[in-house]
Amino acid sequence: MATYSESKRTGTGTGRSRRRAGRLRTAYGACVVAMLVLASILASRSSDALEDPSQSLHPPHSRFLQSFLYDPLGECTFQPLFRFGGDDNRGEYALSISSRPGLTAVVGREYIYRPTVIAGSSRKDTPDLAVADAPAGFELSESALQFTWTPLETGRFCVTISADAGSSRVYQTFEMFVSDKPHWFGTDRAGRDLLWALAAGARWALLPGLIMALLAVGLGTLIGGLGGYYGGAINDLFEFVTSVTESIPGLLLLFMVAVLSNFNVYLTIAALGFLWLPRTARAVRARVIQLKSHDFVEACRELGQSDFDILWREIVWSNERNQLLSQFFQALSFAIVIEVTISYLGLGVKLPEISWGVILKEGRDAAIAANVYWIVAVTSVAVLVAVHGLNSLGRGLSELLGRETR
Amino acid sequence: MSKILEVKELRTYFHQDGRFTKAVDSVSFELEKGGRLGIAGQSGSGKTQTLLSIAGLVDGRPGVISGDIRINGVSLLEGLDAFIQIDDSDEVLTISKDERRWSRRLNDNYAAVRGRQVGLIFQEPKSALVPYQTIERQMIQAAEAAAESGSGYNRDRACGVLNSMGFEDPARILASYPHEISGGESQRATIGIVLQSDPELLLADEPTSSLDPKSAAYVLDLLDEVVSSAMKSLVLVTHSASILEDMVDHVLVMYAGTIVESGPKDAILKKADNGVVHPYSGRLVEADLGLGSDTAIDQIDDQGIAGTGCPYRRNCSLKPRLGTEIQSRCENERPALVEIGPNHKAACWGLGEI
Amino acid sequence: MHAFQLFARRLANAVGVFVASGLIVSVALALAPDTGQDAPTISLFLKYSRQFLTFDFAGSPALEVLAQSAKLTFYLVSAALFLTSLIGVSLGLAGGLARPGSAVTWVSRFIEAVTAAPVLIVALIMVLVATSLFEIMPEFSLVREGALQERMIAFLLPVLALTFGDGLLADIIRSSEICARQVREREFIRALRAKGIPTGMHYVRNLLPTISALIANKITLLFSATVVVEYVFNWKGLGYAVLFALQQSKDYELVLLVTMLMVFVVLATSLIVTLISDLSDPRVRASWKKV
Repeated sequence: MATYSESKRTGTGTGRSRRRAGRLRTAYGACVVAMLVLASILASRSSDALEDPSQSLHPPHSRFLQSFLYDPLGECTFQPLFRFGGDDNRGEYALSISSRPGLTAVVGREYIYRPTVIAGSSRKDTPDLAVADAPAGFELSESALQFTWTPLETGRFCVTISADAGSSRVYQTFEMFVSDKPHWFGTDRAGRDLLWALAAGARWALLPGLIMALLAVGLGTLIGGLGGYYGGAINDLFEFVTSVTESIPGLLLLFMVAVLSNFNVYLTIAALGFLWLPRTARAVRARVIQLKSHDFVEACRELGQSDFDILWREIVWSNERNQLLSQFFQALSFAIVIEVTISYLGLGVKLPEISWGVILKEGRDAAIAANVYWIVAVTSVAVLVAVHGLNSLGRGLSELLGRETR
Repeated sequence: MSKILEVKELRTYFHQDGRFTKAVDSVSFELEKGGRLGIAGQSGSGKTQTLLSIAGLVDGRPGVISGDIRINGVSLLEGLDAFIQIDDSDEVLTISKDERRWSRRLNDNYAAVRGRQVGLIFQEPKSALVPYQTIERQMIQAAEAAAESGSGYNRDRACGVLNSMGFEDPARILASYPHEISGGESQRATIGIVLQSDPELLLADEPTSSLDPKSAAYVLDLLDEVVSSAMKSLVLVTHSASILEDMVDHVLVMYAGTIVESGPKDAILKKADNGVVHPYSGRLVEADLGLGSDTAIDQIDDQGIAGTGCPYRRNCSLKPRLGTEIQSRCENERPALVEIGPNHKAACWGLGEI
Repeated sequence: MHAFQLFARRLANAVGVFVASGLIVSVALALAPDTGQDAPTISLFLKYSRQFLTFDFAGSPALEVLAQSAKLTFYLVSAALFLTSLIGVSLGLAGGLARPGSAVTWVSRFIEAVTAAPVLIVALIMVLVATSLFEIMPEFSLVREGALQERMIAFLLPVLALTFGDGLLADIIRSSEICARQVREREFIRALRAKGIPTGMHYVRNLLPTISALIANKITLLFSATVVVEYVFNWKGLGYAVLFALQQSKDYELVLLVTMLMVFVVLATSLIVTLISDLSDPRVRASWKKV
């Protein structure tokens, strides 16, 4: 069902809705960028660089994230989120514990777990709970309905509790991860807090990208503008060089640059700028050619404006700036992706420096070795949000600044 | 004489950027069997869209929304209003359309008509032909689509049709691609393809505007002969007064999607009815015959203004000479078609009073 | 200008680009550190140049490695291309012709949003999902003895990652939509509909040159993405070989070989697509015949 409507009174056009979308996008993008910048500043200030092996691979403090990002193999197990095949123990009178315990606790703070015991299909109101195997201090509370614990040292501890209904008894075993402060996104293998690691990595995401984007858009505009305005041999040469760089898979070229420069990330990303250059140059060139023959150029010339003025001020600045802005931000987001990729592949940022790609690399190893997913998951989301935010900012700004063609 | 084509209150709207464009705004007319109707107006006046609406080719957004089109008495817009809802309040005009079902119903209605009773001739002949198929292939496809059973294409018959289109070597044309033959030749070939299935009604949209004068004259002669010898009916859209003079009996003048005048061709082209003619038609005829100045042509390029008054009020030469009371009517009320002569109507408050 | 002249010029350009890129790659590799050979840079450069120009890689282990890897990469890339085209063209056609607000538009927008994600992330997420949901061994090496189901999934996942990562799908969808709308506006389509002749094949036929050209243009990006995907999924194709050579074995001849092979495929595809598009248009075909 399609609906078309027109308001007769005010004659609203699209301008308004497009502006609103532009504003929203810009706001969202700006927020993302602000967060990134803030995060990297904060991370570089604080000295949380401490690696603490005793807090290695702690799951996220948030119960929600815990529920589907943690499923270890090994002796200590607990209910995974998805299970194909039924639960064999659901007989008429069989007992089961249906609740999931929180897995993280902070030194000095009280931890409480209240299990839900089900007999058959109904709750058992007064289960007989007991501690089967737990670290010191983990004990049944006075009400006998929950367990409490105030941990005193960091590390990993295995806990087994039991629930009794006379004829049958059921156990639940899980791991407790104790850290000295809550790690909202968990920790990596070296015990670094993931949230902090992401903030520290943001620096690598933004700075090389900034250089690359300035290079790409700046040089691109220069080359495109000159080429479009004056044409001729420079143009042809540029076209040829572009064809060459576009025929070689970009990533392979970057790999070579990375190897050449001894894995200097700034150089590599700068090289990326040269690969991105043709895009801007082409757009600017096309516009300059299109506008070159317009009447207003003649008018400006008669007024005595120099070629330089005409080219840059009138043509590029007035007419193209929103497109250039959008390209700038797209370049930025692309730089983030490339940085993450080459660091992941081992050709970019390397330990002990931290970048998102490095986190992913470690995270992938951890995922395979220890079935630990939150590192990869959270970092992926961070990358996606950053990329999307930057793109939105670019598009939003270009929509807001509108199309100011003369 | 029965009517081959009846159009009643046809409305075709297009929605873009939050506004409606009333391409065809409540157009009504009739055509007798064997009659020839010309529709005149500038580009954008809605004449092409009227033709396309009649042919059932408008599926834009929302497209044809209300009215009736009957060919040989059979209503082609039947059942479509079940899928469209129009809410026209003071503040907002909203049209809801179940696109899928509407289109399906439209195609069902038109299935018997397309390619059989109605033939459509387009303005740019080379564009109207499939560029990568030979003429013969296109004739085969048209014939098979129009045939209700079996027969379809017959090469001898096709050659015969091409012969009557003035082609001395039909075999060469059949084997050619559209880009290998000239503009005039392709238009004649197109007409040939259309005539293969012997349609009763021909709709032609400026068939000669893109041809050189010699080919144009040839094609028009051909069309004239085909229509008169086979007793076909013709609706010809054009913006040229001389073509109207030669080819049609009755003229409709369209402006901003509405019919502003309808009358015998002499009444409009030559002001045969005591010189009374709609101010716009007068300008249009002058401009085409080159008698008007450039400013006259520039002034009538304004495609009308929105609102409830007469769409031509801004440039009307008659309006300043009318009394204030009539002038305010021009400003606020859309004029209805009133009789100003035998079989001659015009939508103008000023003329109605005379 | 005759079509043949145009084509000859394109061919010459392609050859030039091939040679130039080979030289650039040779320079890059010659400058690379840790080759384990003590030859000076210039002679390395000359050696590489000679190698790729004359295709004389005998005596190096590169060629044997190449054949096996090339086959694997070929399967991956062609499957991904096939899937991308299929989904992209169908969605694009349907979307371009559909009425506003229909379901197809939503699906297309959604897929476009998804494919805007970088390929690495998509691949990693798929690995995650596969390992956690289906309990598949995360080592996706193509185990010959594995069950058919496992091997199929092991093949399917990288193909999906390649299809849905980095926006090639989005470009095809959008391009098909625009193309479909343009074709619909063409006069001869209207003329056909006026006669009641079905127009389906014409849409496809008019779509093909544009889409093939688009693919030929973006095939470099596809190769870049392939390298990443192969690494993530342990798919031992050309990309994996290159990464291995760069990171560990420092076998730069292999890198040269693989890179030039990819460049060759890119250029050849572009030329072939242009040729086919030209030949299928009778106007251009006629100009060819005149030669």
